[in-house]
Amino acid sequence: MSRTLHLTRHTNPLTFIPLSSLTRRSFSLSALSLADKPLPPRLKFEDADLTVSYLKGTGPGGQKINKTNSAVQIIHKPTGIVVKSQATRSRSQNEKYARQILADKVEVHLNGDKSRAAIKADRARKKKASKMKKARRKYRELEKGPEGTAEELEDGDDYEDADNSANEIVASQQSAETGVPQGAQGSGQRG
Amino acid sequence: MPRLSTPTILRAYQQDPLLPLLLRECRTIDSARNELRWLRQHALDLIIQNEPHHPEAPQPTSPAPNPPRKNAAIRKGWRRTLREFCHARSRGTPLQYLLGDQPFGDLTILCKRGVLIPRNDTETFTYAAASQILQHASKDNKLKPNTTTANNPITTPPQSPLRILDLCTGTGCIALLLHTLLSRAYRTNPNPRPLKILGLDNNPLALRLAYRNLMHNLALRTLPPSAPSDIEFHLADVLSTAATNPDKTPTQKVPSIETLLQRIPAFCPPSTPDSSQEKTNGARVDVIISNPPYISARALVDGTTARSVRVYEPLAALVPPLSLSGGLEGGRAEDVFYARIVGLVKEVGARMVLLECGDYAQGERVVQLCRLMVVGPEAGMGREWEVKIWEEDEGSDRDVEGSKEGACLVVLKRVGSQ
Repeated sequence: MSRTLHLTRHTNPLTFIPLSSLTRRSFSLSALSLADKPLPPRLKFEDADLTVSYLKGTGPGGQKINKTNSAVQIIHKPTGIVVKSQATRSRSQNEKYARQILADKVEVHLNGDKSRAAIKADRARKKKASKMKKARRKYRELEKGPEGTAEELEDGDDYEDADNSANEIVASQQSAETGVPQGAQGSGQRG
Repeated sequence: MPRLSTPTILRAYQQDPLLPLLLRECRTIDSARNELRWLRQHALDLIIQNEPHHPEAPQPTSPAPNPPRKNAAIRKGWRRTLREFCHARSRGTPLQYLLGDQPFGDLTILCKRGVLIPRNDTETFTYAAASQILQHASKDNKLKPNTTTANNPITTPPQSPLRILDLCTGTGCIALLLHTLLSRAYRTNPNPRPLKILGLDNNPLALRLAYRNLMHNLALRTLPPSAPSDIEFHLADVLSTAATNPDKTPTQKVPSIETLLQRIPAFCPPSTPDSSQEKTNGARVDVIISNPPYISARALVDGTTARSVRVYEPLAALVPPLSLSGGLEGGRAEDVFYARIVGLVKEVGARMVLLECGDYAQGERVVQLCRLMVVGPEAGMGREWEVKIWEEDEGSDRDVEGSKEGACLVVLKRVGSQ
């Protein structure tokens, strides 16, 4: 999303954008547009399907003791899924949490891979994978040398910035080649 | 109370060195961990509140409240505060007095030493009471228009308010939660019935706290804006009757319920000698709800009452005064309040009474008391009134064990239109 904004801001109709970078951008856009797709709606329960109970122990109650237990347990009768929440001291809050957890669990039970929770997890996994892939690629290019880095960093948000940073990197690479002892450089390559 | 096993204590210590302290009061690791979490949060919150000189502290409007919070917590000794809390808790100080409040429904009820902490059971019963009142009121409305429109079709539009009397209100929790629940239910109604709730207590400290709770929840927006005009808290002695009052009036500053009701306009009997209102003449209150002190002097010391409650909560809110028989010959001392309240029913013309009782044995005694004083001895005659111990409807789904041990709610209602 932010990338599209950058793209529109930096393109006035007269500037020439190289075709290669455009295609690359569109590739990243398609990956991001996945996140824009709406998730399947949250599950709504019929009250008759739920058994909400406040867990209280045995023994005397009322004024005689002052229990701080505010746990709420919800049973979804059709699937038999049981959810318990003791997140806060408030029963009504706990009930809200328990309902949310239950909605996710029941949905996973009913829809499997197509459920809200599964899709969310899948997206998070993909995002992480793509992030790691990019990071790996970046460091691979860095190790390769100045030409590769500059090319790679054109992918960045701003051309000028990308060029500057590329130059900096080139400079640092040069300094590394000259100044840094061989042992350190070797370790850098390994990493 | 069974001893804590050494493995349990060791396991708790491994998780957190403070847990064994909390274990003394909580008895299970799970609940101790919960309390530790809440206490830690409170300790952190206190640190931030106590830094007025810090420029970031009093301005929570800054876009990122988390970083300053963390910094402040690290700078000051919240750990020490937490350790003090845990030691206090291990000596039995109620968690609510340490944290300063207790959630009650959607409300947050402030708690202070000297006033009884609202219980979970009372919360459940207040929800039950609200639904009972709504049911009853809707039935009444179905019955009423037929009779009233037949007699006088002109004077029906101004709806009479639903007047609720909350006796022994303490923190005011029942009165306040009832107001939210009822006004929420009436909001969908095109012609909502006005509410008038009166909370009475004989302890000025409790009344002050009740007012603070009213304002606190108003600020939190958990109470509707109409609450301050609908709810009043007043000083009154529930046990002193009108009969005993005249001799004491010079010395006694705390008025009885009868004398107090005459001072409050909404609860005064209607003076219009109307033909339709003749039957309900003197009806000053529609619903009486109460969670009076109900622990017997023996139950206080025989181990059924928790140490924390016995030592730290006000005795006057737990055990009824022993010196008064409450006009109940042969009755138990712990039932004094019930005798007085049930005796009040006909006098103020209440149509519904909801009483929290300590256990089912006491509940049964109160039911008997209601039969004796209000319903009448014969079942055939008992058409006008109905009395029972309230049960949660889905009885089969609930955990059945121990349900007969805890507190219960006695519901007395007028079912006939008479």
